Amino acid sequence: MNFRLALGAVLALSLAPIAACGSDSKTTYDARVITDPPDAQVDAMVAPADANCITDPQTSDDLLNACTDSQKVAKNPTLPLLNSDGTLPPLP
Amino acid sequence: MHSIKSLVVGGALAAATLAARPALAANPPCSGVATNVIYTGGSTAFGPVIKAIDQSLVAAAAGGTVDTVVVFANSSGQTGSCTGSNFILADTTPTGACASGACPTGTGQWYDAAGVVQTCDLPTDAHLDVVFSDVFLASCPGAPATQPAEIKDTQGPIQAMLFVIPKLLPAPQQAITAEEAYFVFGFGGVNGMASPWLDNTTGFTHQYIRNKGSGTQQMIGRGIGLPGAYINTDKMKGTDSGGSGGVITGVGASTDPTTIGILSMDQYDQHRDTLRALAFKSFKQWFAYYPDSSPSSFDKANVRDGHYNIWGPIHVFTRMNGTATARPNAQKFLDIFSGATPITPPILDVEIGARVIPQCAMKVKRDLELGPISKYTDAAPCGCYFEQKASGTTSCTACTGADGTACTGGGVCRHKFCEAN
Repeated sequence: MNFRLALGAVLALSLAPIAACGSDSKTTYDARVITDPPDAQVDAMVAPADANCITDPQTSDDLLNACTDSQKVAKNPTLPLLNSDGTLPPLP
Repeated sequence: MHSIKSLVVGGALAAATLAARPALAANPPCSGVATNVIYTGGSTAFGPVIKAIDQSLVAAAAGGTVDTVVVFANSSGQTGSCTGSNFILADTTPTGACASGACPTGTGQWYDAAGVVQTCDLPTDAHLDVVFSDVFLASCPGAPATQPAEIKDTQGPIQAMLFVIPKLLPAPQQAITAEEAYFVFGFGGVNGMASPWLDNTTGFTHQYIRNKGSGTQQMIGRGIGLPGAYINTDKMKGTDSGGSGGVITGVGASTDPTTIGILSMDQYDQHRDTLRALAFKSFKQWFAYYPDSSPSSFDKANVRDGHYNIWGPIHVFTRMNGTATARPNAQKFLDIFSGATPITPPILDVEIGARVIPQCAMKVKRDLELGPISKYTDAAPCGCYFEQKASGTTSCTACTGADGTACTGGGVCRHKFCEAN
């Protein structure tokens, strides 16, 4: 689980595709990803199979990231108010 | 009691009168619409289902006296999941005079066989037979922490809550993350610094939200990490649109690029011509997903398998007297809702047509508001049938046997499609 969470964090911090799944046999590549920059023509940016997913979901978090044929959107925005460790700041 | 013909004639006369002397227009009493009037209130997000049920009930009269109709109390300030729940919680005299705060006032609405909304005046003591809520009772501000024995919670089809933007915006966003939404609705527009949702108007008028009485707002707020105390004190940033209709109209007509609103899935599906739903990336999720497998489909695949995270069952609250409903018409509705009283089309088709998800089509379940999800297999699954009805296509194998009989190639025939069990 820690590995998968770390992998999620890597995805959150960079837009680069994950090149390998390491030793976690539940994860694999998935297809049909589009990205979401604040520009037009996002539909033209359909990526090849470069994503990561859980092949045998068991937990709630697994199910959120399970492999699927559905279209998915890669979005990792820069949020200036986010704490440096990625946590949410208190509400004003 | 009015027949449909007399209602039509009456409506025409009323329209003519309205045109001539608009100040004198008045609504007919709700009590005269049908022999049995089921008074309902609460979530406006449930409107498409009520519409479909009413169409069926009124059409069954074939122009004669309508036996049963569902009237929804829709006056301003009296709708919303938690607002409705407050009515039924306060209704300690369900068959007598209304206790303080127990009954809505003003107008109700119902639908004719063609699906045209009709307005009527509620009676003086308009006890709600049924309250629709998108959230568990305990999620509402001021509600008891545990379900009171005298309020029954019958859980129905699945509803999802969405973020919507204007359909025709140039360079539209495709998705929103939970963190982005936290800043947009927790800090407010420009203060949250989550581009492009940088509304800088006073009161954040381009953020079309609801209020603390709304199940839509309760679910969205929890889904993006806003504390319950924050939601329940109406601190979520934006302008109260007054109901689902206000969100649909406001967002749909806006040309401002900072515009965003919150809306239920069933309402969105009926207004895709003016609205665009955003894919949502929940906490601990690696990608964002639409409720459906793509922006243009209607299969609800990502709600059904748990990829789209802001969803929950529709709750039907009825006040009980022991094991029986305190008000007889409440049981009439529950019987329609469960299928015990058949309607045409069947309630399963009504729910699918109204763009909510019958529980039998779900592959995951949850027992708490926006709580953890786990795998789910219904005792009599209908996922294949749902896909066919909702999206017009399914990869399932068709079968001709009766429900519950074995399919030749394995599985069980359900609604003319082979399911796994």
